[in-house]
Amino acid sequence: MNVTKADHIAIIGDVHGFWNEADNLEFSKLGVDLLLFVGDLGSGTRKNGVEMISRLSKLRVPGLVLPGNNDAPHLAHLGAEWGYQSGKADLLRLVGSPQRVGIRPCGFTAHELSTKSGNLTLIAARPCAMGGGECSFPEELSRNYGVSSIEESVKRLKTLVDQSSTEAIVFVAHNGPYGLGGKPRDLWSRDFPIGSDHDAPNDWGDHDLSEAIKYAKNQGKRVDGVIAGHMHRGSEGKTRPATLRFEGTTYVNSAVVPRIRTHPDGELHHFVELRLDPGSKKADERFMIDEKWFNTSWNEN
Amino acid sequence: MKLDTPLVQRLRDHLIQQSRASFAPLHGTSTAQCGSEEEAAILERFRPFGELLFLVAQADGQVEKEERSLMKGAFHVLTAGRVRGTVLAQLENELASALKEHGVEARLEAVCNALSHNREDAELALSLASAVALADFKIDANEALLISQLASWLGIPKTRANELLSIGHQSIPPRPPLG
Repeated sequence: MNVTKADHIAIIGDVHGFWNEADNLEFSKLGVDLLLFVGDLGSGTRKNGVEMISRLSKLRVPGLVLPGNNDAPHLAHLGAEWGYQSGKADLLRLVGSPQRVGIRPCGFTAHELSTKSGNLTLIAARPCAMGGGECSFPEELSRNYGVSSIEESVKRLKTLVDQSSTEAIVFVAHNGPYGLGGKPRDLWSRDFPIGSDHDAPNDWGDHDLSEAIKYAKNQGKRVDGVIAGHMHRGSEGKTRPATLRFEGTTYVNSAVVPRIRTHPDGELHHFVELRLDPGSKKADERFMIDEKWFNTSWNEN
Repeated sequence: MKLDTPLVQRLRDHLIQQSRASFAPLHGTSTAQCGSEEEAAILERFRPFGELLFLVAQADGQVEKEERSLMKGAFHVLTAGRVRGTVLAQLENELASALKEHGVEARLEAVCNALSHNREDAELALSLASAVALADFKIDANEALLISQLASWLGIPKTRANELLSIGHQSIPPRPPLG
């Protein structure tokens, strides 16, 4: 397994079509080592999803993309575009244009990251997850990942935990884990009605992810963080916090939608900054996280 | 327009080398299942490039061995190796049928029109077409004229076309590792 340097990570919540050339330029200026996309790239149409892959492929820093539930119906075409763009980037490098680094898909995969605090394993959980206790899009998952049920997903995630060579693990998922609560301000509580189903759970987290986290801890692993999106924050007047510290793990909901907003000073672009290196005033926390906006001249607020 | 440039030579050599590689998926991805939605989408994305390369390759009446190798290399690279190599032979048969039915001019017009909607696609297509023309290590007047016409049909100005085919003297940077 290649080891990726990742002291400085930018987490990008649900994109939903909000990614432009300013993002490609500014994230390389910021000097991040890795961009983590938690999914839902397009606005819902195949055309927009493909367009997002095309735009992300121009990134000048490495990016890992975990498909979200909105990407699921277009997974075939997103994968085709990604393959084409990756090949094109290889050819551009061949002829002397090395700037384009682009993105790689992840899902049921493990990625060893090196940081100044030591190595850790980033485990990308089930793609296209959307909570509620079900395995969403089983046909697409079966074709692309060979998994079509929650039970199979748990098994795959446990295998990835077993195969990890580091003590520290960070999970990235599209939707967060079950077990963090069902109240409106909880990170992955349900924020939409389900007809007359009064028994529908309010905690909309995913069970396979919570099982994997629990299993990792039981195996003596340290689960530093769990990063996800899906349940938008600040929608319909409700505001969820970005993070929660619970039983030694920092949980991050990075979904601020839309992530690009107009502002008197310019366009504001949202991301969550994750620093895994020691040396800042918050060095006692290995997993340092800060929610940020930037505009094109890098005035953070 | 000068086609026998270091860039086009490098592109040709790379793609021919890729054609000899095993058809294992690139970048750690999985192979698309035969006949699946994924395979169809990958072929749909590659098809205009494949057709353009095929039309350039058969411009002198037949597709030579080196030209076929280059097409195979381009197929491998631009599909991330996710589709079996045998599918390319099926695609070539389809393209040959379309050529027979509609004629070379109509097919070139259609494929250049499809590729011209995206500037990057158009420019990549021109570079790849030039590499196919140089596949047998020589460029004749007809091939040079065809590439020049292609640039025009793809909406690429002559100065940009010359620029595209003449840059590329830098060393090849490695792909950044990402596990």
